Amino acid sequence: MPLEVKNVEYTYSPNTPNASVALKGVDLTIDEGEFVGIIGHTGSGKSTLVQLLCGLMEPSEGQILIDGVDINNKETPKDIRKKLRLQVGMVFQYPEHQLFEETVLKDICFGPKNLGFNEEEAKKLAKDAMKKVGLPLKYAEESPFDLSGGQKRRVAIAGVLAMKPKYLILDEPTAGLDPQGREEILAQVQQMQKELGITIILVSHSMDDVARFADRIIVMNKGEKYLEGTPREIFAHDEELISLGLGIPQVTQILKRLQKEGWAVRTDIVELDAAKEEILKAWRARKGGNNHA
Amino acid sequence: MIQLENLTHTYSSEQGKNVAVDNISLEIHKGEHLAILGQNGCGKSTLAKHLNALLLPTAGRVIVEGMDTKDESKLWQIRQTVGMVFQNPDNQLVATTVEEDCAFGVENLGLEPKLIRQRVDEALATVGMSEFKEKAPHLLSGGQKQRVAIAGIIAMRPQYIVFDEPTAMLDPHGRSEVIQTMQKLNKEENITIINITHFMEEAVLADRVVVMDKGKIAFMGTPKEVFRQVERLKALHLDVPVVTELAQAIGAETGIDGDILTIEELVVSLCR
Repeated sequence: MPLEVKNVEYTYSPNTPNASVALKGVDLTIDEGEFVGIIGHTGSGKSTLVQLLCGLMEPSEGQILIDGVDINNKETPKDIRKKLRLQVGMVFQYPEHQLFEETVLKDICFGPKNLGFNEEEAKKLAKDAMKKVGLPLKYAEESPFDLSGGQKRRVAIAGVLAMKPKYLILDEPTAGLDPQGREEILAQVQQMQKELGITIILVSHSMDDVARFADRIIVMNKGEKYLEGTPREIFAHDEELISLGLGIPQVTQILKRLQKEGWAVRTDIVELDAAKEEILKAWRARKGGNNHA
Repeated sequence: MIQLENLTHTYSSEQGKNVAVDNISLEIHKGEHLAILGQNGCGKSTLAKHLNALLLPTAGRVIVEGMDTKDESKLWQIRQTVGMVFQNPDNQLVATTVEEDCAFGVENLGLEPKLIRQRVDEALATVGMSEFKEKAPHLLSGGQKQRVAIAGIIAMRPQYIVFDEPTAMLDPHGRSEVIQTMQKLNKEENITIINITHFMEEAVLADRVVVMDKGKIAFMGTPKEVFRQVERLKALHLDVPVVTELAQAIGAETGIDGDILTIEELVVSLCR
């Protein structure tokens, strides 16, 4: 069943002189098993949106539905609402700042234990989660603070995964990591989606990352859903995206520049390999043409 | 000039010793734009903190414009010579308005109020934040906050600014604001820039790129010299700019050079 956002509005400090509308009229459906990218510049409302999705805040107007049930409706029994909210896991920016336990395993067990699992069950869930994020079990008894930046982040993600969410929201999961660390985390996240069927909602500032990994992209602007579509559809709106303070993937920029020089290339390409083929095709055609001339 | 002479920094803890910077010698020249690359944990931030005596060498020396960073009597002069901008803008802003924040450092220099005013105005103008001077810093975007942090530093008239991943937390627009400001400070104000980054596209803008690995300098050179070495960079968990990767992928057939760093260069080479 999908995660639905119906006509949602959110106002910070309502009924005060400081009231500010962060979201208005947002409608969205995220299907199970999807990999969705959310982009938007600072202040576009994307953080407010994800906090509503995971039930940290309640919308001022409208509804958030999981499996068709409104997670904020007080008439729904509390334990059912709680169960629904637990289906959405949230990994915040720089999640490693929230690590606190003596060992990696204890840290990951914290969530499941809070949910009422006993020691043994929690450990089993934690170990499963370590596998899912690609953390070797030999780290289980080490202090999370002795690990590298990328590994700490995996521990933090495992802590959320151990609670078995169906939907996983990741807010800038690669910020501050080196290129390989970024690549590894994203590949791991993609594997969770493909192999475990976990729905991924990736909030990112990197157009190249969302272009490569997301099935569908949602562009937020000034509290509204501005665009929605596949990476190719979205990045065809290059000028609009740039004017929103965003951008387009670099390969798309290259193709646009070549087209401006009169090359017959498609510009709705976001992957490196596809761009390479497209440029070579056009290059051969041009070379052939020149030879005839 | 900043000279690192056999700089070594060892962190000691109960678990043992960790050599974060291992016997590095390097000269940073006045007016240059230097980028430092390296995987997480390679020692680049530790190195950066030695440039203005936030950390002191456990062995070797750091000489800033002739001043040894171990000389306590020179501490304030060193910190005035070398400013630092960090990753998280929220951790660097202290006051309730932009101009007060920007004035915080200069006020501590003991200058005349009129001169402080002048320097703050100039600094905010340089980073393009004059119109926000009476705003509260927490209402600004990430890129704007980072520019205010930079203004606070340049009001103190440093000769060097060290940027430690200044764009890691910013959106694309904020990132380009900070990069443009950095470039402007280097080209127009002749301030030496040392930029520690994970973004290869930023390193391309530098005059010289230093690649670090396990506390040592793995190799260095101009961006072209460095990014030609794809295999070596990948082995160190790094990458090359997307443009360079694409140029190399189509190089065999089209005959274009493998050391292309910008979209413009690629387009020009292909259209030749």
